[in-house]
Amino acid sequence: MRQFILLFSIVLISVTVPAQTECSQYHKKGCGDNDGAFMKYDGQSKSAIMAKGQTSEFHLVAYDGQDYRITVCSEDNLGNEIRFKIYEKRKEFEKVKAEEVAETEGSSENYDDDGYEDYSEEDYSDDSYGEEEASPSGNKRPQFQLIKELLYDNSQDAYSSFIEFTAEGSMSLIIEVSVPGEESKMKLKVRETGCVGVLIEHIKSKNTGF
Amino acid sequence: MKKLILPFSLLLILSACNEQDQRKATIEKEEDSHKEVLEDKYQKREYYPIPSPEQMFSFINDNGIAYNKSLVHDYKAADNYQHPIKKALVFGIYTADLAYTAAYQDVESTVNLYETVRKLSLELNVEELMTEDMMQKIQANMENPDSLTLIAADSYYRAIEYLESNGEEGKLSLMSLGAWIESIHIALGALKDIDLGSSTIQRIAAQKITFENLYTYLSINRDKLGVEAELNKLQRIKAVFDSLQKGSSAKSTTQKGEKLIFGQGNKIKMTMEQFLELKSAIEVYRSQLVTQNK
Repeated sequence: MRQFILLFSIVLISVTVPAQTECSQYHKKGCGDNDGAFMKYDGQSKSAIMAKGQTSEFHLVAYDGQDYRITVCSEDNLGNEIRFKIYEKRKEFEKVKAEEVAETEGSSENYDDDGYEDYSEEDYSDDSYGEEEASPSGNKRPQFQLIKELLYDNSQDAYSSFIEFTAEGSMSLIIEVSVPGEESKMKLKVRETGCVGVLIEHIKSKNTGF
Repeated sequence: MKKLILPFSLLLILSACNEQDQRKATIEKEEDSHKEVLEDKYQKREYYPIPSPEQMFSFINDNGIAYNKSLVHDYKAADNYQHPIKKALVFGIYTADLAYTAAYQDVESTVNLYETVRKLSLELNVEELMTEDMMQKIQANMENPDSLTLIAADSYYRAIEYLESNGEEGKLSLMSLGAWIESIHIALGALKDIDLGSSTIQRIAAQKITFENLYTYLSINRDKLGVEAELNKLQRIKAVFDSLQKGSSAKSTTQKGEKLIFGQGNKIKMTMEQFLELKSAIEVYRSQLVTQNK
């Protein structure tokens, strides 16, 4: 039995490692067949292995005055209805008592970004604001409310695989990608996984009109 | 003798059963542990890609900012960095320099920097990043600046993909940090006239957002190769970016004809004092990075 498990593990590793390596370039192969206008490849593009029922977030910086095209593509076994939503993430400055902060941040829309919260809660308010810096009691220090505003949901757009938009003002975006289906109960989840690519392209916006 | 055989047989059977139970328990434990590894692998993931340096350099080039070779770190100094933390940081610095020289068609510097980055990538075990084939492509595309930029950018993406695929988040964090610092150092240093209303200053102010993503990524990897120490050194830069404010907006999606617009044109405001403080904080930190002894 032990030998079987060992063999099984070796087979599993040999299946998953190449899959991951192949996936890293998937957005370049799988997402680039739009008929849209020419745009430059953006280095924030990314691919990952995803499983059915899984959701992942890609954080993107969109700069003022640029047109962007975001294309999400996936391998066939993950189905045709890959859902993606685009949120704008921003912090709104406000003065609140320290004990109110957790409640305020907790109420922001579905916000469960651990790394970001770590940044904002632990570090962001402690040391940055000169005259308004925290008192030892911490009650008067400036705080930020984290806002995550939904800008686009492709399920409202016939599950379109891409979107083009103009950024007016630089902004921090989150692309939330969800693979449809139930999370697998099977131990051999590799059968339920595939590559998902997020191709980002950009070009300087052209002013229209006279 | 028969009396002895019976209890002995029973003992053997019991012992065999016990061993079988233990084996079963071990197998179940191993399977559970394997399942946990898989479940962890496919749980919700977050990715913080950082805009590559060539975006900044294409932007400043398009906005008429002149080339300044003195801002590039001396490629000959590469041999002097021995510590793996320094190597990873300096690797990032040189990849940004490579993007800069390529964007401004400084072919000689591009070739030298490409060779430097290649050498460092080998020392950092980032294999197959810079192949002989790529070097030949550079030689063949000397007259084609766009190709040169693409080749330089491709090296950067390949480094990121390689490090990420191989679980080298520590090196990747440091490399991304080095590359980002160098791109800001060059953009700030190349500016001659400071017009706070210009698109270049707005792009520099927008690095607040990039920095937040970078800082979050570094924080996630703070337990990896030297990342925690660098996070501590970034506090002065962080304080400047924290102090920049962006006008808040209401609903941020509008449709203008066929164009979908995100945002409402709210700018990140930066005063001259904040600009000078940022420039000084970047210079101090960048000097620490390129200092040979850790």
